[in-house]
Amino acid sequence: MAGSRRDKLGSIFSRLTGLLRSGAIKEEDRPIWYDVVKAFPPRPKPPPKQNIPNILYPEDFVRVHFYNTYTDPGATKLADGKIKSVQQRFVDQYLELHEKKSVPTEHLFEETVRILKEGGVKLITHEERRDAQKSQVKDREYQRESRNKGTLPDKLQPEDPFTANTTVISSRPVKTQATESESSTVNIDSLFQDPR
Amino acid sequence: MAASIGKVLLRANSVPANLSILCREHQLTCSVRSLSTSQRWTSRISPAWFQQESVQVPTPHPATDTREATLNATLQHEDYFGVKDLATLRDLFNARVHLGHNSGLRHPSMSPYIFGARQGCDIIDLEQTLPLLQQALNVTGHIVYRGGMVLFLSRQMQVLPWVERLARELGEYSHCRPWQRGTFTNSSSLFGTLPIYPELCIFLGTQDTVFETHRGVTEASKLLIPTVGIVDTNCDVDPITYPVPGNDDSPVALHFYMHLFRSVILKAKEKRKADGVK
Repeated sequence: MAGSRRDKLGSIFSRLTGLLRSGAIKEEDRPIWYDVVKAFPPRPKPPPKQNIPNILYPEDFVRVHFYNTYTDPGATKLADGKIKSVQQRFVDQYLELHEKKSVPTEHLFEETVRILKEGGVKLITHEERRDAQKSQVKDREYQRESRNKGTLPDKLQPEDPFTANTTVISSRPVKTQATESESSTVNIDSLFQDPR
Repeated sequence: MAASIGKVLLRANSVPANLSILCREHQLTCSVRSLSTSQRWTSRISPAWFQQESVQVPTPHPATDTREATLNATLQHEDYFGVKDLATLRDLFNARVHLGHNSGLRHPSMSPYIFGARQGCDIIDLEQTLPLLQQALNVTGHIVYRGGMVLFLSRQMQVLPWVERLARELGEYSHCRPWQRGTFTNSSSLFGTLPIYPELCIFLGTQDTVFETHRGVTEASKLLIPTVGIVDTNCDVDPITYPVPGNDDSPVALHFYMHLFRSVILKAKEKRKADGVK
């Protein structure tokens, strides 16, 4: 086809119109699309946007408050549209209370937490989670130390009068067989060695 | 020029249908159907030329005036193929057409079509997409109605089989493989024959790789072939004749576009048959 092979000057319609006007292409040889594009010209491009806004919803702030206070309540099944996640229930409850205006705004969060807890939802704050993790780490470190040494430190020997009557509280489940052997005092050796 | 085209047409008429004339390995296939339509089209314009070439005169068809009149009458119709019933805003939303790319990847020319940024991810304004999509479908329908050849292009491996199957079902053409430079602009030396160009290129994604625009966009523009393109937020809008801002990565969205193009092309062919346009 006749043409200059320019691709950025004007549009294909304006270029072909020029070719038709100059007689480089005869009117009857025009391509099929020419009449169609003439009848339905492309819409002019809107002016460029300088600032593209961030999309935010009121519930975003509720969510941020929730996640700053409580830990992630766990995974959610996205495929199941019927079951609402804990976070979603929280947000819905909050917004419902907010609309009712029965609770002052500064107590809205506590009130929502109270209602959810009544409904049987377990919410763990970040502090609680941190403390639990610390105690677990401590337990584990202690166990590792004692295993490396092979024997227990002297002061924890059962003959020691000070520790004879103490009970050990551990986050790990204690084997019942070991505790049954001496009911009144705890045989600490048995906790860290294999039962025979 | 005209004489050599005539020879190509003649040769094309003698080979069986759906034989790829240009080059098989480049997946740019031409079938006799479109050749014969263009032959008829040309013959109506210059019947004397065909007699000179001693081509057997095709069966008598309605006079040029009535054909022109029918075609012009359809152009007066606002929505001849019923594209406005094909898609609603809700359908677009369900097909995830609004999801764009990360804001850092935004192409400056796409900024008017972006609604906003949600957590670092651009959201496309569907209220602008819908009329643009309808117009693109309408133009596709009209070009097919007039016997134009359509070429589907995509460079996404995931949807390649779908696009090729779609093109085969419709009796149109697809090019989903790596684009050799000059496939349009230098085709006569690449394929060793005079090329038959499509009347419309539909780009289901205008990016070749994540960094560069499909070469076909430029080459179509050079050869005065109109383009319909799905442009994501990281694509350049300007070289596309009929841009449709929308997600070009999700399979759901691509399936949705393909469904729309399939329905409108089938409808256009049906109407073409019913109206007796030849």
